[in-house]
Amino acid sequence: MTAPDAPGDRWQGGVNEAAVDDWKAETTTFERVRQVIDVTTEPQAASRIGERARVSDPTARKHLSALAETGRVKTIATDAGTRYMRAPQMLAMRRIADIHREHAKAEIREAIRDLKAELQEFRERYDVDDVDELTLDLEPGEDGWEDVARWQQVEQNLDIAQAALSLYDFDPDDSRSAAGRASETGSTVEERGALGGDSTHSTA
Amino acid sequence: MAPETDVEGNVGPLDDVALEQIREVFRSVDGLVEDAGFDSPLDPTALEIRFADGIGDADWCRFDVRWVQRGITASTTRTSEE
Repeated sequence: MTAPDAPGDRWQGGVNEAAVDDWKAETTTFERVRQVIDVTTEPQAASRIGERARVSDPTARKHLSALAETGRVKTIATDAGTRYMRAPQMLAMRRIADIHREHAKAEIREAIRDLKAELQEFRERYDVDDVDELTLDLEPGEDGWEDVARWQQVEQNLDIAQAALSLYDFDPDDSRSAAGRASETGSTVEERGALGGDSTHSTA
Repeated sequence: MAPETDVEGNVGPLDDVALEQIREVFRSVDGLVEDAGFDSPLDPTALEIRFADGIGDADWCRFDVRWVQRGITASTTRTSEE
């Protein structure tokens, strides 16, 4: 895509088509299938995934099978054939690892306290036990759906924060004792997770 | 809290994986985007994309992008004249 010099020489193409062309030029077929399946939250046929990723059916099927073997893709057998969607647990693990690595135990505990307090506020405001109950009470277009989305978000963030916190107790190699023995003072200075190593810090 | 939007149904929570992809797209735009990141890693509500220049006389501009798992997207634009 080039910028026109004169008004009469304006580019007449479609933005969406140009974006797709750029995407195809900058990515491999595997990368496109992975990007598409990563945002696929409802089961879809390989042909539909291939259509969205701009790859052929056999190529989509091949890459989806490879991604399923790594646990990144969930496969569902139906009467109409195999359906594919992203594996939410695998993607959640990435966030859990990032949070565990980049936040001290106290920070995660504080976030958990705040998230739990917000959930309690929702329960009291709407006089319901959970978000599903609120969902059943609301009509389409009625005020309150924004709070439903936020409530679901808070529950998801709470689950992830709690999982990141629980990793501090997961120490099969007894690394805390080993660190204490290695330290001159006999104790570790900072309690911060190490999952995932230091070389892949998230910028989230 | 999340900004006001026109959510009118069960759209699900924020899709942070999709937002990560959107962030990478913005970051690949050389010279235009100053920074792009979540407002909070522990409780993300939006992807904040900060531009080095603003609209009109504004010195800077920020897009807050939200992408939910089902249904709709929403974004707000903020600018400042300093």
